[in-house]
Amino acid sequence: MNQKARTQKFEGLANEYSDDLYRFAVWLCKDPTLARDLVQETFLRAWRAIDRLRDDKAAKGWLLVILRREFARTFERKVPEIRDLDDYVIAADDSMEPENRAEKRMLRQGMMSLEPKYREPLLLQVIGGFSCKEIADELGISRSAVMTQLFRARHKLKAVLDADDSEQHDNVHELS
Amino acid sequence: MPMTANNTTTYMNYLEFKRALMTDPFTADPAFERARKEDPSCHEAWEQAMAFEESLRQALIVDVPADLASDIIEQQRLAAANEAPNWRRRLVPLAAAASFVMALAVGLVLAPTGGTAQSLPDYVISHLYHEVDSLGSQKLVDVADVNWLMAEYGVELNQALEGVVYLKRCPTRHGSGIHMVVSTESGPVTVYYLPKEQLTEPVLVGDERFSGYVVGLERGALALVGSRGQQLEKVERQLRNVMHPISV
Repeated sequence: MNQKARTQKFEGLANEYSDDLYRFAVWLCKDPTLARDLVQETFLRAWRAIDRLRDDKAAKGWLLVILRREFARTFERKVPEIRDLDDYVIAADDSMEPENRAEKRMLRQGMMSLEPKYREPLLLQVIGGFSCKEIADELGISRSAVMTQLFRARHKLKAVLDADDSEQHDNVHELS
Repeated sequence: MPMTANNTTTYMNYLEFKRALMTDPFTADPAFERARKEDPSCHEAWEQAMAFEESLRQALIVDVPADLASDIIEQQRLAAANEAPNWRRRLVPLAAAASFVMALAVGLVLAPTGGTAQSLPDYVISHLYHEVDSLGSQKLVDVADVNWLMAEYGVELNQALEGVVYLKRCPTRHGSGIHMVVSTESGPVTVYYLPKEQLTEPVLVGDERFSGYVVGLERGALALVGSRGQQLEKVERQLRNVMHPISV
């Protein structure tokens, strides 16, 4: 591939996937500044290795794998204490019903408190579009272990929402 | 385990279907599809699961910095400008021989050039313009963040580096480095720590708007740039006093 073609291919990847990579990075490291550095470092690595990307359809997965490994290699130890992401990066969505906003916030808090072993497979599936087998290959664990982790991750998130529902329900009873 | 029916089709019972919704809700498994379409209980569970998946998808959406993609592309251009093209690497021996012959012929010794790679002053100024908005930063960066990024590049700060209002890892001519903006009484000063740059003498940088210089350190180099004529020595002294290479 000549330089022009490499550059065009790279720019296509940056335009198409940088948003998803950033979102993945934010939830992975829970820090927007770190996430931006991580995404930039990922793309610099991708640029150096772009000739190895043969199948464009695999590009997103390829980038996410680079990002994960870069995170594990240099960024993981710098992860700050859990912060409330809403204060940093998530603009309030005024178009949403208050109930939906509350649900969204609960889910975010649930995601923040998920252990990495549950959060990461879920992110790879929901943001990355990875199959269970692809997650298993990337994480170096069995497919059944991935399925268990995904099950527990969703179970924990649903429990957060259910707890919120029953709390609201109790409040209604108290008022009535 | 989905069961086979009529030798050709399979079906999932309700519990299996519910488990699939929790592990792989968008699976294309034919048994899953069949249960979703034919079993009202499964269909209802599927609708609830899809509502949850949509809520989850929405919850994971975070605002992406507007300049992220353009920043990535700019950094790639910078990285590419510092790469020697493959053909040039292959031609290095031939080019060296040709240069030698030419030098003999005309009695000149050709000085080595940086080829197409960006010169140090060009890099410093172009990078500054690329992130010129950083000069408007006012929020102080946490001292701990400065410390850990410095430590990443093998530098220890024996005192807190005060007044940093912008901090970022950035590409340099040789690998990555640190881009900072330090707030001073005379205005913002841009500082780059270039860990792999080796200088024996200071190099001046500048254009009609900015001026500064790059100085060598025990390990790496430090570029300081301010508005034209701005005094930078105080910031340089401050940095030299607090920055120390971590001994390996």
